[in-house]
Amino acid sequence: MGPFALDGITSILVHLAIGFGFGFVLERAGFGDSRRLAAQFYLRDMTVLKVMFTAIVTAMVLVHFAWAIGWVDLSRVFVNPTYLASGVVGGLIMGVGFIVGGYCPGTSLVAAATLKLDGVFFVLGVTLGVFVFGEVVPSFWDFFQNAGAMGRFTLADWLGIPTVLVTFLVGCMAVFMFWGAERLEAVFGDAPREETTETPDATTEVAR
Amino acid sequence: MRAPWKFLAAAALIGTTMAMTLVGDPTLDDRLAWQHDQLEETLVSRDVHVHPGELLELMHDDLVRLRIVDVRDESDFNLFHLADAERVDCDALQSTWGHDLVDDAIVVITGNDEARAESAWRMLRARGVRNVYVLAGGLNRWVELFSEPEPQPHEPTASVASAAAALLLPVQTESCLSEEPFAWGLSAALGDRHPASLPDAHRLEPLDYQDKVKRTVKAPKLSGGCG
Repeated sequence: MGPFALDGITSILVHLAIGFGFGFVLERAGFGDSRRLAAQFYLRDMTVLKVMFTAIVTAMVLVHFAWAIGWVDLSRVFVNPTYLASGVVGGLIMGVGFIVGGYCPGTSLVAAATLKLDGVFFVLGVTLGVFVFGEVVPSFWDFFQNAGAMGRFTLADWLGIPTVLVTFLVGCMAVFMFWGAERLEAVFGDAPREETTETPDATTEVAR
Repeated sequence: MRAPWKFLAAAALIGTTMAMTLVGDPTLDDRLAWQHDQLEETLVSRDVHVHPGELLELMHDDLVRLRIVDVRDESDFNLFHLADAERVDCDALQSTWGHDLVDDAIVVITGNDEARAESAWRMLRARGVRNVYVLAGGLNRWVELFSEPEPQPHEPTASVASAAAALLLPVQTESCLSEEPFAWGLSAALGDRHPASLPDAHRLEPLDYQDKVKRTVKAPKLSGGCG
């Protein structure tokens, strides 16, 4: 197996195919709809968690399985370096933007691709945000570059246990979270409320 | 989770990951075996063997994040080693050493000769450490090139005391690395206080060598500058 050195037109075609496939799956999973995405934060619809966690677990199991049998050199698989403090701050900003805007950057592109007006405006907002960030980042460059810099730091490094054991534990966590997500949907989801409420909640209608 | 396929998917996930856990992480020996051909091909090509002149240039370059790894026994290390070299033992090479390396770090391994450094190079490469090189000719050649006056070859003396000591205290060698003797006789254990530990590059005759080290990431400004 490997190495899979891609260059020239082959590289462009492969990346194009992966990008199209990713966007297509996001759209078909309903991720081009800001109401469905925002519903995640109100625990009404846990599709985002289930789809994303399924993707994470599938990729994790396949990569680690390929590593365990010698098909992939895990040390040569790029892992985003950990910047703990700036990651926490960035995550909070991203989360607020996700709730307010109803999209994350990737899903906003999916929505814009299907010509949803809110998606188009979100993409314009992201572009403006990127420009503003680029202009002001020198003022907090040290924090951006160094805050909590831990390099390549994985769960196995943190816990000090074998990587394949982490795979098993994350797999167990995924099953528990899928089960818990469906329980939450049963409690907070739309179906039970419609059964107990005779007149629709005006706020809910406006949100829809 | 009432649909049967959900139970099947959950069972498949747990079963697969549990089986992987029972098999365990690939060992260093596994990884060495998987990469054997590629590693040997690289060593034979000598693409990773750094000439002493190039290493000396790196040692004098403040913009390079250089790590010199000395894999010799402690007695040889105390006798002589390069400036800023760190002695790394067999266990650390096999497990923990290198976790704190930054992306643009350049690692040069030194032994008395090349065989021991090459063994260490194989381990680090199999563990995924990048930008690792071997000092060509080892420290024996380094001392030969940079020592003034010319060093004298080491001639072991078979005294009664040393023979008795050898019987009482068996030589401890690190099992994962081969043995290599330090070729030169030094008057004292000077470590990095020996003049050849960090020779003045400006006072030396120009050396003819081919650069092997690849600087993959632009080195950051460590100090100075007006921007």
